[in-house]
Amino acid sequence: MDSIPKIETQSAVAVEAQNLRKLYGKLEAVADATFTIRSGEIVGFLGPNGAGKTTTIKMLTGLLEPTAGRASILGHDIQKEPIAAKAAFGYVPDTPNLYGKLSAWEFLQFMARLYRVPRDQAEHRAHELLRLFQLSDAASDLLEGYSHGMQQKVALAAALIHDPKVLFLDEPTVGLDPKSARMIKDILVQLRDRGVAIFFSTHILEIAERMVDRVMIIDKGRIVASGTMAELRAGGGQGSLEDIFLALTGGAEYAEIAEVLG
Amino acid sequence: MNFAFQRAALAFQRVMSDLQLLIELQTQLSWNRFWRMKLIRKLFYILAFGVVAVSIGGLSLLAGLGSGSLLRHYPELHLESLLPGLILTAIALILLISSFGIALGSLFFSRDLELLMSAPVSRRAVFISKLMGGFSLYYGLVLITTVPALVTYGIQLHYGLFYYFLMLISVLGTPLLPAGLGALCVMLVARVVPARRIREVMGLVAALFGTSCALFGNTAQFWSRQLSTSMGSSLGGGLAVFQSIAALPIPSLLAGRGLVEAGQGNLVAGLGSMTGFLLITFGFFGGCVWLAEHVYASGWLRMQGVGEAKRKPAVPKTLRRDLLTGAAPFFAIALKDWRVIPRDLRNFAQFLSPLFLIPLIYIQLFSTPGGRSEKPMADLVNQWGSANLSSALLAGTVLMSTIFVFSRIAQTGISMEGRSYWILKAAPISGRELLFGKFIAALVPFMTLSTILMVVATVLRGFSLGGFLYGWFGIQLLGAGMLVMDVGLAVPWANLEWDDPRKMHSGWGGLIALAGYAFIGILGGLCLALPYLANTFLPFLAPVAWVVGPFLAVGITGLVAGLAIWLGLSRLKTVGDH
Repeated sequence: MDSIPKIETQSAVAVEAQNLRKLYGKLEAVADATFTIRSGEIVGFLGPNGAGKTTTIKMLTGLLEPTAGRASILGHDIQKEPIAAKAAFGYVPDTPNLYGKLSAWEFLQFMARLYRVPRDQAEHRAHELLRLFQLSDAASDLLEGYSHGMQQKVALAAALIHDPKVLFLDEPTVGLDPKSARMIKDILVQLRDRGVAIFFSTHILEIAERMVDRVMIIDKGRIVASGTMAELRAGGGQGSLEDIFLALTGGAEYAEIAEVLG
Repeated sequence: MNFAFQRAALAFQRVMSDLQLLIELQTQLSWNRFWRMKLIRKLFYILAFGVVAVSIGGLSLLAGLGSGSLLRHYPELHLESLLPGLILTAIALILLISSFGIALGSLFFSRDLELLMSAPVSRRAVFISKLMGGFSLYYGLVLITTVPALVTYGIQLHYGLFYYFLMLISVLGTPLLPAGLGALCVMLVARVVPARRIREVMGLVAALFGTSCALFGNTAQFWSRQLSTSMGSSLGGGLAVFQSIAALPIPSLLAGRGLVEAGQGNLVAGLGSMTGFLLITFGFFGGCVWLAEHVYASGWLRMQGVGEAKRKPAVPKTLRRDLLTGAAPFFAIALKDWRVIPRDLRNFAQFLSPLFLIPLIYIQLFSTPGGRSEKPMADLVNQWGSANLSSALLAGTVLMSTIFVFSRIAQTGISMEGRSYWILKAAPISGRELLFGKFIAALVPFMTLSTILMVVATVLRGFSLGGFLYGWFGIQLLGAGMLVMDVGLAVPWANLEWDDPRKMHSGWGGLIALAGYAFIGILGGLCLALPYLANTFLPFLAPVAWVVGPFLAVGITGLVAGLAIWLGLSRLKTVGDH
């Protein structure tokens, strides 16, 4: 596999969330989330459906305004200095929702312009990324004809076009075949090795267990655990990440459901 | 035979029981939607409905009273069947204009169709319930518009009870024919068009269907001229034309004749006409329901195949250096829009109806006496500096006809992004850059077309060069102001969750934009016309008016546009939050 162009390695705090809170009417979607992510670190963000994962990522990326608290990217407050903060990260949402009427090449060029990538660099990087994601042959086709997996790859390529120092991914492997999922995992590990801070949510605990440096578990809007696998086990968790996850987020009801269905 | 009858009865029973379930579901959904609104909104809706019902119902009542009274006094006119027939025909035509769009939205773009189509529910029941759901509001309007007129008409002409009974049947049956026709067209398009582009083509056909009907309506002046020519100047000729219209073999006119015959006591003739009407409308609608089992379901299934559409084998192409590559972010947004809009027929369809109106306006403008100059080029050279009010009005026509085309780009600038809006929201661009990009996307084509139209008008009408330049300046100033206002107003009412392109527009946004157009157009236009007015009425003030007029026009336009853009910028942060 081709390698991703190298960027400068840092070990500083890349993402900082302080007491982030989001209310939808009376519903508290995220409560008091405080954490940091350092450069060169992959943090897996786990939680049951509706726990607040996507809401947290959207607040970190400036797509949602928090009810309270603050988030910063490389020291730039996402609400007060949105342009500087947004220039520093790439974002891949859970559903790509790209412009179906642009080709992959046109879309990458458009994204490069939004992120103010110089012309020559934009063309060079777009070529490299399309090759990396094995999309070069389809680069002139409109995105509406792409499969979900191909669109997911284009979204990731677009997130990398400006060489971000931070990457947010919301369920990046959903809908991908095993080969593409593996490719994305390898790319994320390469990026981490080059100093990029990566924060991604997933339901697939096996992926999280294998590739992340640190795990954060959110349940009912509250972060209920955070640390390396060793730290989580030392904190009273037993066995695999799945056991720890179910113990923290309540797994007994699943056994009951299985009994009822069985 | 008996077995086949039993099967048909069971199938009918099944459809009816499923239909009842689906109607209950739709009623529950509508009630929940209304009940969960804020109190102020609920009150507004009730009030608005009340005002519309009272005003339309009142007008209808007066029409029935007036025409009934007239015909009671002049029975020799023999026009009794004309009013009921015309009312029902007008309703049928209005429904026909929007029938394709309504059928498209309700039959193919509903979000719960996947659930319903995969459930063991009769597809005919789904078809009928969706169509009824789509047309329910129109049924309400039909009742408010027709019933008061027909009731008071019957009272005035002392019609019997049978008239009122048949009236209810004809009012309830009238929307079935246009609804069925719209549904049939939608189903056929869904069957024929390639699956990959089906949503776009359907949107385009809906716009074309509505536009064709609207154009027919807009040429009423021409048709009425033709009619008056054929009528001649005699009253007798006119009467003959009206009587022949009333006798046309159109289902709604047939119903009108049946109503009047029943009202006058000719029960057999009344029932005969009404049976003809019912056979045509219910028969046609029944045919559509019968077809729906296969045609509707297979069309819907084809639509679901978009993601699986067979792609052409990938042909490696040389990736050219793209215009987008070197553009500033705001211009990249405009370039992206110019590329996406023509490629997506759903968006493109939005511009069709105003675009079609331009040639019509021009034909009407220059076909009027004195509309064309005999020596336009000589006028252009010789009349430098001179200008008149008719030139100003022509410039106003060019402005309005062009702005209605390109205001669509500005008004739907944010909504058009749809679910892809996250791309712009997560990008490191300011709100000003985003809105400026949207403004440029609308302004450049507006400037291009308005300049072309102005040149054509100059050549045909014989403008002076000074008049042309001043008119062009006015068009660009007021047009740019209106587009800025549209871009600003596109933000607070943006709808990112649309499948049907007509839902990109917001009623509130459109209403406020219209008020803004009127404000900018009338006040700004008056300021720009000040030099002409001064020249005509107070010539000694003309030099002052040449300075003050344009200055005031810039101020007024800037003020309205500035307010709208301020509103847009202040609300941009919350777009897409839910």
